[in-house]
Amino acid sequence: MFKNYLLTAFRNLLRHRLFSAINIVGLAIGLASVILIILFIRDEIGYDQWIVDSERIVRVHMSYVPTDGEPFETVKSAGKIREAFSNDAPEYVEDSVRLIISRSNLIRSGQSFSEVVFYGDNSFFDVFDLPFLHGDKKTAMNDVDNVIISETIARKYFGRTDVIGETLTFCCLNDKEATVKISAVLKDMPENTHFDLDIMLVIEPSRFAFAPNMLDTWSSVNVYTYFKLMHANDIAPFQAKIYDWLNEKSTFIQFVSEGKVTDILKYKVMSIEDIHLKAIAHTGNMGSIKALGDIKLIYAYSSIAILVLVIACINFMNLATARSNARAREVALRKVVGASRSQVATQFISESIFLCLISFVLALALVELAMPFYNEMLGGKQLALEYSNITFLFLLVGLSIVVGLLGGTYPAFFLSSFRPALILKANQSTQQGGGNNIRTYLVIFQFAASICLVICTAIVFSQTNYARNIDLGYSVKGKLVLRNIAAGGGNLDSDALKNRLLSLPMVTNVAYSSDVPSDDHNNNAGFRRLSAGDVAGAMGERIFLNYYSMDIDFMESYEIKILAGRAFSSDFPSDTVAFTEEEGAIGTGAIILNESAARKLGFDSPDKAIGQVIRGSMARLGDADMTIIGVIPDIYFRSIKFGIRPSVYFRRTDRFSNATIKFTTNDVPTLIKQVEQIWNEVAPMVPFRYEFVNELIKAQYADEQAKYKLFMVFSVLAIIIACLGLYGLASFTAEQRTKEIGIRKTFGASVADIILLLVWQFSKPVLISNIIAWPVAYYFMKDYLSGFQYRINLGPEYFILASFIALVIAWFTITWHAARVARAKPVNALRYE
Amino acid sequence: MLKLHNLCKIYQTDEVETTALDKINIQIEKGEFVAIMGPSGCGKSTLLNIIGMLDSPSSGEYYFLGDEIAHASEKQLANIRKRNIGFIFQSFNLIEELTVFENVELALLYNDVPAKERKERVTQVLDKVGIAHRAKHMPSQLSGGQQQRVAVARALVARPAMILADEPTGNLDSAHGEEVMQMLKTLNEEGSTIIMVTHSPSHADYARRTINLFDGQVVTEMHRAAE
Repeated sequence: MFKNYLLTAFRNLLRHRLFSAINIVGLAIGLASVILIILFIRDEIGYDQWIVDSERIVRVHMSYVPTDGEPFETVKSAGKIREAFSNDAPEYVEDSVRLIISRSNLIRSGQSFSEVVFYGDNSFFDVFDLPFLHGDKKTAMNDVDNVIISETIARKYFGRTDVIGETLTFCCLNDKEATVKISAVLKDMPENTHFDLDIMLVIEPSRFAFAPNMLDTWSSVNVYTYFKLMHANDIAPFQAKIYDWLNEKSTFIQFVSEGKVTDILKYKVMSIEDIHLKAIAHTGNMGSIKALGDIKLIYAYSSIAILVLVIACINFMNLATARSNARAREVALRKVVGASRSQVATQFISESIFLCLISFVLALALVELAMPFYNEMLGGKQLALEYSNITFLFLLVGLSIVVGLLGGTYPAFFLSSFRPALILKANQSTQQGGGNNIRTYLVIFQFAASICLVICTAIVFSQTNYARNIDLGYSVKGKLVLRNIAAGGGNLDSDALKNRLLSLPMVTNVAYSSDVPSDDHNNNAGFRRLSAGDVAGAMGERIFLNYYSMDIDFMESYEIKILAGRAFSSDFPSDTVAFTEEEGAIGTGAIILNESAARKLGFDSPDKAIGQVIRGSMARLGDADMTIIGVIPDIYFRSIKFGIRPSVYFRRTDRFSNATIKFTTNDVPTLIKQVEQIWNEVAPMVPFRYEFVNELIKAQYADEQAKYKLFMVFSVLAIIIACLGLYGLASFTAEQRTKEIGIRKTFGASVADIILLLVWQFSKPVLISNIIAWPVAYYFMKDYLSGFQYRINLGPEYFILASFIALVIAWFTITWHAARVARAKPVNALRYE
Repeated sequence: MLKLHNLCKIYQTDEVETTALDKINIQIEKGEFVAIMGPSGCGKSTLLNIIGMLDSPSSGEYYFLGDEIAHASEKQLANIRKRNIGFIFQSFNLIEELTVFENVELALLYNDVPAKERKERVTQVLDKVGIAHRAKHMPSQLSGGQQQRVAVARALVARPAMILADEPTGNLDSAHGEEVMQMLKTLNEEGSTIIMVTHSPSHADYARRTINLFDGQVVTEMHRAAE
């Protein structure tokens, strides 16, 4: 019996090639999309789960929300925390480790390479039981002069992995050249881990002499702190205990006059398994080691996957029921020779599963084809179909069988319900009104889903575009940033470098600064206004502002407008802030504010701020009274997604991390070559690292861009599938309405009349589907846009445009068919003998 | 009215060539009532379809109101058809989704008759075939005889010079069949040219001339004296 079903199924496939193709291809595209999305989601939600005991390792994040200042949230924490919490909650803490990450230069055969270096307490591998290739976990970090490297680094510097006992030289660790011995080689970690450990050194206080606050204070928030708890369900009680400690035992209590410490300052623990997707909602992404995922994106993609699959299923159902006319006779005859209704239904369900499995195989091929592009679009993921993973493969096969069942059940019951006598009577039509109605509803749903996706794509696209083209307040064109300025351990002669660079004819300006656009350092300091003549006395409220330091040329290089006052100038030596190291002494200097900072400090207009004095208290630098000499617009250093921070800018002559070169040439390769030559002469042992400002800015929106590209791809696919279905349905309806068309033509309808009739029939469901699509898209896009501080208007144009596109595509799909049917001779339609 | 000269219709499939009509020569004058008879498959309906311009001949000539139209384009034929010919079919061929009124109105719609006039004429013709009281019903709510009356009304409403009826009584019981024949007879007496395909000799008796077809050829032609 089953063989007979298969045979009929197979012959039917061949006989109705067009419809088989529409069915199989549509479903294959749907399944392929779903598989791709599943692979992505599986990777995203699987972050860090491969790490042994991942369920009981937590990281401490900090959230500081002062009543009057800017909130400051970071995934980093203070150096003191590890010790404090370990001592306070020994019943929960099994082990703990701090992690510091910075860049350093590795010197090898006379060349230097910039590498990301991790510093960890020697308990690191007790917390993170990472797989070793060579070396002993227990002793690897026993010696301060040990270094642990990854397989990749071993290959890069030695060409092999068994390199225990070899040495690596850094310039510089705490401004001194240091040679360390390789004690272990780690296996490369999978990409879905929240950190990429390549080089690991031991935290040794003398290495951080330049930033002594980092390790042992509560004021510097620059280390990552991990705790390994006794049990996975210790996380909640551990968190509660931390809050109790903050409120009752910590030294912060004295800062809080009313309420609790945790109203303002929280140290929040988060399981490392949640870091990738949930850290943003937890405490933001500041200080994050790698780009974070977003749980909202996971929900969005899951919805898209389900939508695309449902659209494909609907095609399946629609085409199958539409074909009922053609299959009715077969059903009737099977029943006449004794088939029961359930047997007929079984036949059709197995037929649809058979089709689904063919589609599944095709889908796998499509996935393989799309994989390289997909990975690239996702920003260098390494997703792949693992055929060795039997469970996963079974899951996918199961998915296609479920799709087959979903798509096949309704048609099976519809078809198996036919009464043979009715069908075998020559002229009876099997079309029942109900079947037609259900098909129309399903088409409406398909188009509603597609239109919804198109609207979302258009809005995500526009927002990304808007963000990219917004006036940043400075010019990004023709600017090159040299990094590693401070990496030479203070050996770099910055004046010489600047002068040499300025001697190049293509270079018009060189400016040093602590940060450049897209850098996301949060250097907060308290500032308060001094009323005139009250330099020493009681002062205004302390307000936290973000500060940047720079040299004299920065404002000019970036072509930043001055709203009031003036920029830094060499005519005013007093512009430079002089901090004093003397206890209790207060330095002086000049300062420039952005508009937000001026407002925050209580100045009604930029002009009113000029000449006023504010006192800044910088943790590492000391206090200084600074005269406001200028106000600039709110310039966007970081993505506009995060809004503007009230910021101040001051001039120093100190060591900076970055140099911005403003150039006027199209011959960039020559420029780079010349700059590199100068660099190698001035800073021979520091790697030459440069970036273009416009690319830095672009990179800030790479995430958003990947998001909209994916949206676009899947919504295009959804529309293609929906149109495939519409095409098939149009051809069936045209066939079904042949008689009506014949009658109409007999009584004088022209070809155009008939085309209009059919096109209108299919335009109706598309138009109706807008009623569903618009509010749904509006709801989700309102939520999406609310995530941006600066956003586009959610106007009607996106909705109208999307609907129009859907309608035009639908017309294209149908018209060809309609024209073919309309041109046929009426007699063909009316033959009844 | 019309004249067929050496008209042939050949159907071709991959392997078989079937001659449906073989050198037909017929002339029909204005005001005639002609019945076409013959066994199943003799080519009656094919002939009627070609006369009605729903199909084109393979060879031969077809003069309609003096113009040779055997090789006219689909568009030209559609134009001549909608102005001059009304059709009545065995299976009524009403559009299920339209009401009685709308079905009849269809013929006027495609002739660009203004709405007001359409309403008058449809009402008038529905009255004439005695079905006005069911104007708002759907075809499926009517009996076979009533449906055929609607079809007759639809054939008449555009006031065609010629009415083609393809076994108009084939799906009806005898009483309703007689009714329809009576209606056609009245129409003919009012001046319409009528060509009717039928299996029923008694219904053929309503016509003044009967053409017998066999295997695609005209075998006999019989004239009946005017009553």
